[in-house]
Amino acid sequence: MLEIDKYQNRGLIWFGNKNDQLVGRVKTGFVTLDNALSGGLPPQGVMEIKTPMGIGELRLMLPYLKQKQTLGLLVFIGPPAMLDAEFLAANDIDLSKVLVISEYESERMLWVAEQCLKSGSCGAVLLWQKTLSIKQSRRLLLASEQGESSLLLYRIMTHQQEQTGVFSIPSNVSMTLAPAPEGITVNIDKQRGGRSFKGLSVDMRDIWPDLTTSPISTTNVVAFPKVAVH
Amino acid sequence: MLWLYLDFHSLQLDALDSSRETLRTELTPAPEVVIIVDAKKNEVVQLNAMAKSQGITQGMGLATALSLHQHIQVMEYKPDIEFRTLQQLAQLLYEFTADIALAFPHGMYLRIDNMLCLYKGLLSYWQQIEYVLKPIGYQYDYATGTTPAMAKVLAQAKLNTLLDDPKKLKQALYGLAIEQLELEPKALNALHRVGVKQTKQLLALSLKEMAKRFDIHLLNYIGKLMGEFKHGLIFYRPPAEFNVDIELLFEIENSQILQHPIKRLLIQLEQFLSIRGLVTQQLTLHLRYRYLEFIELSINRAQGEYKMEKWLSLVRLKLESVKLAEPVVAIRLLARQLRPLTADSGDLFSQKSPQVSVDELVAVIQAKLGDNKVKGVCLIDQHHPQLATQYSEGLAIENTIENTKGRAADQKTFEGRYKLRPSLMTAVAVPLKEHVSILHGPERIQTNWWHEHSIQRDYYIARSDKGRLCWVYRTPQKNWYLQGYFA
Repeated sequence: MLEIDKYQNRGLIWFGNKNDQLVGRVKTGFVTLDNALSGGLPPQGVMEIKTPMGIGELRLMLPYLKQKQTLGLLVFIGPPAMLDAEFLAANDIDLSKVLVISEYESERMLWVAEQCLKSGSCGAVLLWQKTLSIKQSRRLLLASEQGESSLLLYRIMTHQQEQTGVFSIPSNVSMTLAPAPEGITVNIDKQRGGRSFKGLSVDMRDIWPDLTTSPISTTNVVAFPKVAVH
Repeated sequence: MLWLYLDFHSLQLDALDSSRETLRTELTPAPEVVIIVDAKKNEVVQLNAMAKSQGITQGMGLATALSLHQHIQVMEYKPDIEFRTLQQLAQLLYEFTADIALAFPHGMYLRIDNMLCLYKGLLSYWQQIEYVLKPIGYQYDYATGTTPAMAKVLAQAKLNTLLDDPKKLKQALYGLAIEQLELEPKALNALHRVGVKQTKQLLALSLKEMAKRFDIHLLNYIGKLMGEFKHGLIFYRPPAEFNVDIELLFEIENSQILQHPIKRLLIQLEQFLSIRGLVTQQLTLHLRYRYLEFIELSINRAQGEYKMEKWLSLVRLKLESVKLAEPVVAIRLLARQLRPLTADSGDLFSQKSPQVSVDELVAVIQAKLGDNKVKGVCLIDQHHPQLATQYSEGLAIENTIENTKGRAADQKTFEGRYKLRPSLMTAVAVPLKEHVSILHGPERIQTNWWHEHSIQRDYYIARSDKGRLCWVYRTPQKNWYLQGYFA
């Protein structure tokens, strides 16, 4: 019992029947994902996204970011390449409310993330970071609650990590992304107030026909990995 | 007319003392005997009370002074320190007196007859002046006069009484020896020869007679002294910008300790700005090493601010990243871009009020990381994909992206004006090394040949074997490059 208390106090355990987590969910804009996340992503907190580079991990979050931007700045901390203005503008992101921090030293990136989250003037903070300690992620979580902001933590996986998987850090939602011909396959590893899901197919064919290939299949669950059907 | 003259006879000494007072620590005991020596004349010009008690007097030679006491701190007389300090004093007094004229090197005239109406009498006016001058600890002699020259002569004679009766003032003037007047040695000599020793005797002569016997300079002076001639004065005007120095009496090697003297400067800045109802967006700090080299730090806030605490927190962050090559001996604080203070009205109806405003947040991050790492994004009208995105320092201001707005407006009438572009672009295109299969393309981008970055490229959207969506291009030479990712 004592053991459980200890974990509970550190926020490492949550109760399935406690559903105050589900208030004010922000829609991701993708039906399969919204269903699995009981309505959408939480409006604040830390969201861990484990993904290979360049499969659509930013595009997946665009509807969420667009909604969060109405509350304040979008801050991109240490993006792995130059953020393209035309891409943002084409997707209705207000460029005058975008801040890019080109800092790649881990400690300073975390400092900026914390400042932005707790300032209360940022809608969402996107942070590219390999990993976080439990202490660091707790700290960011508290900051995000203080400032009613959310942190999207992008953990870019190497090819080897894609095979073996990566250990999740404490967060409100933790997901692993994998490329799929029609969009992205999402595994929800953990979520507060919900259960885990495997192999959710996010269909992006309507939005980005040029970036997807497979013909419309009858089932929306796609096994991973899937070979493109021609 | 009634004038007040303040004679700060030990201005440099007091200026050093007051800066020492602000920086006093256990490590720096106050030196006991301090004298300031004019190097050209080789004589003591200013000395503190300890030095006086040792028998040192003003006008004494340096060697004599040194022979009177073993441990003397000797400093060189620097008129520019007095000049700056005098201006600071004038700035302080300007709050209480409209007309101030500086008399270099260490005095100032204040016209008071027109101020007495406001202060209801000489006494309460003088209390106000003393209230300003007493706390900062500068020594001064003072006197009033019906003309500026009279006030000056009486103050230099250390009258130190306030008189507003012209008769009494004249009497005080009559009591002076003519050596106490500001006369040239030649004129003094001439006066002595005709037996004039007291001012009373001199003033008994009519100007007409004087004009016959003595030169024009003496005549001019007496005319000004008695108010027959106009005394031309240039009145002090407060500076439009903030520019204050602190000379440190000891060298500071640790950048963290620097924040203490800087705090002092920021308090002065706050007073300066709040009186004028101004705010500033940029501070410049000069940290001066010996031999006049200095490093310049500039600290920005998009939102103007005058409060010391707000600036100090930014200064602290900035100092964290400063490495001092040498110990610092002086600090200068400049604030140039001043603008009126306006109330920042937040959104009355928004549910949450941010603890930190956007501008403040940007300023804090800039102070910590440096200005060049904090960028806003602008879109400009360019076919060249790498040039279409421009980064601005700090947050992109709306009017710098007029093109974007134009485009957005166009987009409403012409759907799909934006091209499909990858979210992440490589800064420099790298040769394509992976195996990819092409999904879509080509899209030819050819910029005008007269442009600097003229290109002809065929762009394709391709998927790598690992599932990455890449934007690749082929040059006319059939070389393939990777331009970005559709992340």
